[in-house]
Amino acid sequence: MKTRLKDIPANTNGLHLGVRELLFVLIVAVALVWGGLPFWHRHALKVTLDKDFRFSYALRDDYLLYRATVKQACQEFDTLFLGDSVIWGMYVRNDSTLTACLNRAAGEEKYGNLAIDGLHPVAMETLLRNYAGDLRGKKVYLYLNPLWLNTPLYDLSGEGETSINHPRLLPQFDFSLKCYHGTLQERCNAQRERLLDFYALLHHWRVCFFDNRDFKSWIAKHPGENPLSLLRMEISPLEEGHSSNSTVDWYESGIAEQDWPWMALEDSRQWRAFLQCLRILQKRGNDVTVLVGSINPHMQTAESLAKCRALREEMQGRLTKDGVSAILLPELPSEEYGDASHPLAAGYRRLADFLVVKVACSDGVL
Amino acid sequence: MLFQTWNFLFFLLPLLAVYFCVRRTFLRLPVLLVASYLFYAFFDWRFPIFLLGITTADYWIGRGLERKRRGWLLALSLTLNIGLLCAFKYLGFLLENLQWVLDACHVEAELPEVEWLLPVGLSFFTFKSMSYTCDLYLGRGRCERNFLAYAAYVAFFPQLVAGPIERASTLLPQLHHRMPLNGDDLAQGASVFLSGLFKKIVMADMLAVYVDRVFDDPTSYGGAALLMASYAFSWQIYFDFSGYSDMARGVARLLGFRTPLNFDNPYAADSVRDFWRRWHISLSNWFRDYVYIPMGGSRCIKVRVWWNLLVTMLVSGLWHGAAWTFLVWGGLNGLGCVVSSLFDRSNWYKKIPALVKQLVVFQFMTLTWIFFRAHTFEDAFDVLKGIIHWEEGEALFPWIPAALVLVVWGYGLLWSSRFRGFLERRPCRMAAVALAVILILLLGAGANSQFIYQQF
Repeated sequence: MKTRLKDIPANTNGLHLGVRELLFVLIVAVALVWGGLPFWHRHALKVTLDKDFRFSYALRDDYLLYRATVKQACQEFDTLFLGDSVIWGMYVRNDSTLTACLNRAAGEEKYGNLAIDGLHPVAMETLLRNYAGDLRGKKVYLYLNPLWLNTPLYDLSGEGETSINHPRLLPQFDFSLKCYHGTLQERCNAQRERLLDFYALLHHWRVCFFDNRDFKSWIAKHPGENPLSLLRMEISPLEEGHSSNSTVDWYESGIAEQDWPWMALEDSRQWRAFLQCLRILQKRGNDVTVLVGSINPHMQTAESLAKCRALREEMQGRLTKDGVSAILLPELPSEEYGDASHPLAAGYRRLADFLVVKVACSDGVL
Repeated sequence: MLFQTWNFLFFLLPLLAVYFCVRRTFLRLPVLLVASYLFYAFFDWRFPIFLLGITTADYWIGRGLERKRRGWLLALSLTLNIGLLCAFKYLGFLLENLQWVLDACHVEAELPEVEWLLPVGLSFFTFKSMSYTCDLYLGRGRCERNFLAYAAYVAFFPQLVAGPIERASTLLPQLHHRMPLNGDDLAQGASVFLSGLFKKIVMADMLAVYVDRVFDDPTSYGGAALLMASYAFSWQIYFDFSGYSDMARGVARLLGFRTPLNFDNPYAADSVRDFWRRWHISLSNWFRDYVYIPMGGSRCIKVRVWWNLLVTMLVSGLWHGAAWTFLVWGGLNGLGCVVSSLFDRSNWYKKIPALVKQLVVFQFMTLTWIFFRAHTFEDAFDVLKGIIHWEEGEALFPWIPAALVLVVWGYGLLWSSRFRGFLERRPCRMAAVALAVILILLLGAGANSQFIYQQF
């Protein structure tokens, strides 16, 4: 009945090691997986940027691939545009985005589109800090979409339930983000991904090669296939889903008139994050110009519109006061807006024409 | 709080630091006790109330039994523990079946539907507590006068949720006498924990994807898929539960406690009785000591021994879950034990090569696991029907888990053969652990699936 403690074996399979043996094995295995594998991958991965490049919508949360794309884009383009889906080109083909229009006007592939759909300033701050180090020293146009400040929830400073874009890029342990309800497991995993490239690499493989499934589900779905044979080191993250330009403007879409409260800059979480983005870029020696986006004036109440215009001007004023070059993008005709902030193809052409003049003026060409 | 989650890591690391500082002081037991209750409260804040209730009751019953062996005290302990189990685990099942009988007899009565929240690990800690009072009554154990020590024994967090069902005679002395805690303990604890982690998040979780898909809709799959899913579940449940046990033992060892083995290569068993000596050893021993032996055990006429085996396994089936499928599973295992007790004594059976016997036992256990895994009787029969009629359809079983299972099985076979010396060599052990760590890192990201035995 009585078990003698000395008789109890540690394990039935002999997988037990002494202190030194265990330490050695852990150090070697962990170094190999956490260090060696991402290091090798980082140097072996080749990204090709095709004509009228913009980052694929399907791969928008593959931040490891984004980093490789930034690196390649810095080699190929003089000037890079950063921002959300307005710069990315929500309703248009690759050849109708703002950068594509600018490139056509310039007669060469000069402007690179590094925007990502749904990239609000809080997420952009983490993205720039962790995945865009190669931008160092480049000329950058940083797009500021005032729409992120239209309500406390969008601004991420309010409480309540909302679906947040790029949750893995949020500051995971900043509890002032009361509308972010990630579990401890999710928060730790996101933080771990930032600290250890290996986990970003696993996500990259999942998104690029395993139908966005985790490895176990993928092999159950593809019983006979060898997952290693799918891994490729040459990737083109070009958007392939937008084959035509939308011609349906916001009015035809049936979007109702909006009355947004708009946040004050002092209280805005997104504005604070945007200023952080600026500081990160400035510290890295980037020549930054901020593009303060326009919000569809035709779908707002008079009160909302007045606040919005005041806010945009205040944004530009504050930035200029801080010595940052800031361009207030013009409001477009009603039929050139797809919704509250996204232009249609004609809108991008108009914005490109506007910027060409602005750039020429600032360069002293005109 | 599952062992493979961040939550547990954030719980364990500070606890280890605090425990290491206080391990030689009077604070050792209070720290362990508070940690165990916190761990349990993490599942639901109400659960520790049941734990404290059972602990207090059995502690005082134990004190009473120390003064005089009174049958009514033991009966009270059994009533409380089994009563709690019945109320939370079996009441719904009983009422449901009673309703069925009433309906069959055309008696118009509407019995209430009971859906109470089952406290996690209830079956484990009530059995632990009952074994203590039973041992005291049978004169096998010593009464614990220190309430903190007894409470820490019942609530010991590594074993609280899914065992092993540790006896007071092995754990209480360790709670009293500060076991030395050195580097080797830490290394052994970490090794065993890693071994368990590998079994759970690499092996069990990978097999679970296929098994769940097939067993959730058995009529949509052909004979080959159903057979493969049945085999896969045999391995999944082994890796899942023995993985949990290893992790529990590893954590205990990190705290300086040595706890008994709960699995000893069960699929290397050459008879069903041998299987139950190797599978969930702590539960098998519990049923042996408190059900089988009190009924007469093996010291009676053959028919009575068979009856004892059958009843013990039926009770074991019921312990696992309140459903007819578990009863059938227990009954089949009881029959298996009876048959193997007959075969074990025959000369012809001894001549059969061990590998063949192992394979036969594995086949039989796979058959019984079908009832264990199926949601309902109908599902179990659908699986069996599909296999027997061999309805068309490809198995589509992924080759990677199949290869991994073969490697692990091969390792187990080698371990029980004369090549064991080779596997015990340092480079072999180190390579195996390194490979396990690499696979854990590659496949374990985001793993937070429940353990199968947690629901019991």
